[in-house]
Amino acid sequence: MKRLSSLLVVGLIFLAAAGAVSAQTIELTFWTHTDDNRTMIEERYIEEFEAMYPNIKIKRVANEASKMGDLILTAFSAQNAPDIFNLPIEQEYAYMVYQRVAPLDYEAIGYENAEDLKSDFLEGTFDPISLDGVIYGLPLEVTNWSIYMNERVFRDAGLDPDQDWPRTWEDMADVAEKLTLRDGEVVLRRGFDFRYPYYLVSVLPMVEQLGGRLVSADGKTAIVNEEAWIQVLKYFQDWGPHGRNLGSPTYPAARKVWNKDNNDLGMCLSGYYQQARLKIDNPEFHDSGEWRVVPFPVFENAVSDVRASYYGHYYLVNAQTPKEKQKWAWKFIAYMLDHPWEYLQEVNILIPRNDLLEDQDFTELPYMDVFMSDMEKSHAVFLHENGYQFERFIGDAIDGVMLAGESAEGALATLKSRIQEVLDDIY
Amino acid sequence: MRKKQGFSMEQKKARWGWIFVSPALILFSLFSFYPIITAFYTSFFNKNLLSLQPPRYLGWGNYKYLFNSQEFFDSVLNTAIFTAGTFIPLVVFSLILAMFIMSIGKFQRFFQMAFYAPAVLSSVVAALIWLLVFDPRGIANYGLNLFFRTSGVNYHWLSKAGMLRLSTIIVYFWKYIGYFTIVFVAGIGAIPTTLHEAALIDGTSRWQNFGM
Repeated sequence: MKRLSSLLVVGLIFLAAAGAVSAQTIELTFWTHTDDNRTMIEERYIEEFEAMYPNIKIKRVANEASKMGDLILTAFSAQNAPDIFNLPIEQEYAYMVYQRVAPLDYEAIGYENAEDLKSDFLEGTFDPISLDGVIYGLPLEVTNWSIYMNERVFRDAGLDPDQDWPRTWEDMADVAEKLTLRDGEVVLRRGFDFRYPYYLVSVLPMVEQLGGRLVSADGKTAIVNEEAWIQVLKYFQDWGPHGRNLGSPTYPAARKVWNKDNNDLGMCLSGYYQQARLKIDNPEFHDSGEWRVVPFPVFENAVSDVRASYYGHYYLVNAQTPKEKQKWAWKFIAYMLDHPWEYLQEVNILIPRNDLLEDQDFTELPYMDVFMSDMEKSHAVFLHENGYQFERFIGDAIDGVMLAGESAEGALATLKSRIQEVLDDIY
Repeated sequence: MRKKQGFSMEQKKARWGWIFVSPALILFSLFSFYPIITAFYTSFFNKNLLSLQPPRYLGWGNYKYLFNSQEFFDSVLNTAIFTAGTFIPLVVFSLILAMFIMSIGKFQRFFQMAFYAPAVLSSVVAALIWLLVFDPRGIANYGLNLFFRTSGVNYHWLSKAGMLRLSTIIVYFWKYIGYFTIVFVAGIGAIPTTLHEAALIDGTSRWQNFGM
């Protein structure tokens, strides 16, 4: 009996000890979008962080970028969201509005307060991620898009890449026409094509160049300056298969095709990060010196010199994560983002820290001057709690004029009524 | 003395039937009926997926909105076209294929697997394959140009409403024809051959025998 009691006591002590160890282990779930270069360095940061803090385990899950919005929304709706995640800032905004993400923990990231943090970053970096004076995220990247040109395609079409690159959207259509090769109605080589799902980043600025806006300044009225919208919708109508037949959303994504250098695309719209992906996809073309980057075009009758909006991916922490875990989540995010040069060199994404931006090596990077010059003329992407929904509505309007034979006026009327309905529901 | 009442053979079979079927019924109820009932209940509320506030009760508000929306009726029409355009050919052709498989002596397994293969293919992979097929430079345009003896005509598989409906129907038909064929093969195989033999002795024609 005595022996049995002793065994029982030893067993209980063992169980208690095992329980204590497992209770000390904190597991952080971290969802992000796929990017092979970033995965490589962030997996290493995880290993390093776990080695420094053995009680922390980090589970990183990468999902297709286009699926992230729906996945995160569903996870939050089901109260089963990750501890750390990132989305494009236009999608993150609603998470701040509904208090689903935690305010930044300055102590955990090694800063005294907001001013101390802001002094280390490019001015305005935290504006898109702040609400009522509270900062909710740390920047993984701030990106804007310019035009990547394949010089071989230009020369093949008898154009001079030094002289004939498009400065205006009118130029863009004419140059694209010259670069386009067709077999009857079928386009074999596109001169340029848009990035169709990302309308807030690249199409809304085209409207703004003409003096239009998506929502009035007081936030209550949809579509300001209908003439500007109609001009842009007509431009897309003309671009599509029922107009000049220069491209359409039914062709493969231009940004991916461009890397292949298969003589089937002249120009595409992308950010600085394209260069890192090109280096992996097609190192020969990357090193060939046969491509360049030129500024985002402007309409001839533009009233405002606005370029493609810059957007960002900010790392956020789930507000429903326990406070202790939140602290470790911020600590880990800060650890990752404390490698801005590595993110720039390996992934070609820009963490807008002043020490990086002021470095001479940074300013001498290929075509960084073009991106920075465009960024100076741009503003942060349109932010609204229903921005994700609005972007889909704009997409429907563009599909309508390009593919379904809708008139620009009809598509605009539908777009306006759909957005107004959402705004009326809020106010 | 009263004779002990036991279960009949039929009752025993029925009981084992329920035992075998119950896991599927439970899982089906859990993953199909429960979401349907929850969705119906949620349809009476205005629910924001991100908000932590409780959803606002609307009564029949969402349904009134729906029946005043042209988009809803467009969606119903498209669903009706898709259903008729997909399921009628699916039933007819899968029955023909099933009869073909049952009528051949050899390679039955091969044909069953070949027809069923698209059903097990990931939807993402299937979508990528068909995007290439329907690409303006893809095999679908090439095939129609060859058939109609035209050159360079874009049939707008993914950009005209009618062609887009046809594309969707083709993809669904391709993906599920094998599944329906296997269902028919199993059904036809379960019919005792003695029934057909008896019918033939009674003087039925081949069509009458098939219809029976």
